[in-house]
Amino acid sequence: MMNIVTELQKDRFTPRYYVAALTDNMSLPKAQVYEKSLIHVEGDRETIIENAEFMQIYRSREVGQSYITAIATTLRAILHAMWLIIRIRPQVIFCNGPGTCIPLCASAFLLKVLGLGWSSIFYIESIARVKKLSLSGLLLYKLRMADQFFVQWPQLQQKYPRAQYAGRLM
Amino acid sequence: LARTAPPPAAGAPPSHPARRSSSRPRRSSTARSRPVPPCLPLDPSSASSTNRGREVPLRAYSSEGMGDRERRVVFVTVGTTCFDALVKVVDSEELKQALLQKGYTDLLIQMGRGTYKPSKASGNSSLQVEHFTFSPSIADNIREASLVISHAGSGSIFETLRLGKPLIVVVNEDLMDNHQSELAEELAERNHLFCAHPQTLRENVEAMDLNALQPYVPGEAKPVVALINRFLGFPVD
Repeated sequence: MMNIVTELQKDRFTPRYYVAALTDNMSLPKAQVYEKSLIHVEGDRETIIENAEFMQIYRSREVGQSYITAIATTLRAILHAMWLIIRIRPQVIFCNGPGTCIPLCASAFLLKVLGLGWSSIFYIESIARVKKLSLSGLLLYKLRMADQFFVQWPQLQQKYPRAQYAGRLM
Repeated sequence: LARTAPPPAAGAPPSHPARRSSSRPRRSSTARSRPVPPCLPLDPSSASSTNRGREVPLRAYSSEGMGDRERRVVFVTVGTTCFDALVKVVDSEELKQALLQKGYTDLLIQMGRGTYKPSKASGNSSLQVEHFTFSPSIADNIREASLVISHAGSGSIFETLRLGKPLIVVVNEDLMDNHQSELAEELAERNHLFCAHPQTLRENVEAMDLNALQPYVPGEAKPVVALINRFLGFPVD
């Protein structure tokens, strides 16, 4: 994901909200380090604009969790996601694979359908997916929730014609 | 790689010149390390007829003369996973012998969450073995290595390919959803790395030809970002 963010024109995509799972303690620090480095670049200006916020969301299901309790935790995740989407009202959503993104994309999609907001949803499938899509990817593709769906290997693009292949990110 | 002859025991008389040259191991013509200095007589301060007028560095003969010995490190990494099967295989005598045959001198194992502790000093072979559990960044370990043996995590794989090191990826058969092996197999098909299983690792090491590997050209996000910008109606640079 950071490969994409570093390449984006920051003034076009601002403010930026980074959302990671509650039990993930590696992803947000990476984003925080990057955003801090941006402030450094513009450091000679008087005001340092807070352009980024970092949030954590409940996971629908932890690795190894039983599927029965997963129903309750998924509901909790959906409610939390809806709350975040209503709060942030994003115009663009970038997501890259973990199940964390499904409740968020579903909430944003629901608001779109109800005419209560508009988010363009971009999904980038993990580079580790060469022949098969991840579950998140499959859901977003089949349910046509993503506006643009990127895969990183040509075999996947042939298998899923509505996906876009624009090379690998790594 | 032939190793330098061990220093003569203290108190032993200087060896006969003819015997001295035959006790030194023969170096192969393709060895890339610098030439071994000739054997010093026991007492360096004595000006014997054999080394009069020649400067021979003393430290080449200490047992800790790492500076003069060329090191070829094999770095084994399992990332944040638990991959005891790989650590066990790497710790086996057969694999260590195979690595020695290929000219490697050191083995550094990053064990991650594994519970199997490899032996630090090996038994019969003279491969130097070290291990640790985690490190904030393995980039330096990869940079110093001549060969990387890694689990099939995409982070480890691409970090190694980006640094241009030869790589053997070992697929963990105990993992439930083994989609990771797709990435390793695809890159192996494109000759960017070798792919193995823990049981076949030794054969892979013996049979590998590093010259067959193609360098991997890293990808970039520009094409994807251009498409995103176009979709959103931004002018494309």
